Amino acid sequence: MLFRPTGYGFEVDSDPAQSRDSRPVEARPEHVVELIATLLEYRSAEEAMRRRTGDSMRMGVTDLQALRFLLRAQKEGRPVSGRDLADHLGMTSASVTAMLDRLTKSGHVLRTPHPTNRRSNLITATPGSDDEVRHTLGEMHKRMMVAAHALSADDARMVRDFLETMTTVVDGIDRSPHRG
Amino acid sequence: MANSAPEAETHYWYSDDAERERSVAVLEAMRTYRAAESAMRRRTQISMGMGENDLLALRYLITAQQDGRSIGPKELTAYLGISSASTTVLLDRLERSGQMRREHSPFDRRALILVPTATTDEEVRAALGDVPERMVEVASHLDAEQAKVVIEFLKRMRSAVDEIDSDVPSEIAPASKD
Repeated sequence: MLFRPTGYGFEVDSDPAQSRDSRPVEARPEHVVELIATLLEYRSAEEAMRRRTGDSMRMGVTDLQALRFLLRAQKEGRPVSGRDLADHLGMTSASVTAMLDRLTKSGHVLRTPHPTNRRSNLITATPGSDDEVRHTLGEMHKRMMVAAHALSADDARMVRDFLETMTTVVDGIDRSPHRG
Repeated sequence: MANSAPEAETHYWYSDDAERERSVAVLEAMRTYRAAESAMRRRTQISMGMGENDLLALRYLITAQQDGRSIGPKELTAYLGISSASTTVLLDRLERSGQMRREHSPFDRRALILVPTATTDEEVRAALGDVPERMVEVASHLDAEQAKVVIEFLKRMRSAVDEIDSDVPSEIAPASKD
């Protein structure tokens, strides 16, 4: 497997033994090291942010994801059932039920009977949770859009290719034998 | 862009849409990468040299130091979003490896401040250990100019993320901040 997304010269050999450069990361050119460090730090910073917002809303990451999904669906006028939520979050319906029990109790969501399916419920986020999520994350999304808008068309494509290539590579990293 | 001819305006809005789509695609790529990296870490238990939050904590302390601010364990705990017990473990580790030391605050003897001993980015980077070879390969395919663009973008994304703090009480209405 050799892939070369859009002419920026990303070529990743699937056989690490062949392309391996045995130099440690920090011995690589300055810009390569800084790029890797910045990328890893971004991911860690985002994880930290998720933990912080989870704490401030007394919610876990999944709760927050569920609320955001509900809010988006409501904005688009799409009804959401427990099943939809389970599919979106990749959770079993049992864990979704447990999560919804918790979020209903805390007043973040409402369950109403499904108009056509008696065995199902429609799930909506309450107006208060709308404010909570928007307030916490709206500013951040605005800043992220500004960061993306600051890129020229060519740079946007290059950044996107880079991230997509990195994603493919990361997806291919498995429990490699030498790392136990 | 100042051209007010109808065609030009249509074109303007069209390209504005295209630009928006482009930005959303970049953010989407960022989001997917973030999820993939987290999944990979769970799968492989790769620590990438330092512990999960060590690099983040160290960079936070260094940035604060450059801004002339002192950070105590409490603020670091809030930033990392971990328990204070986990922060203690992390600080013990950083102190043992000589990356940071705890000192008494010059203003309040009872308070501790955290002083990073690695003061430059290079020193932090030296602690970047176990990054999978293939990730480094991908990064190596960018030239210095391209790398700079990506780094700048990632830094702006990071400050977007860092601005979100836990100190905002949820009772505050969204309007009050704008």
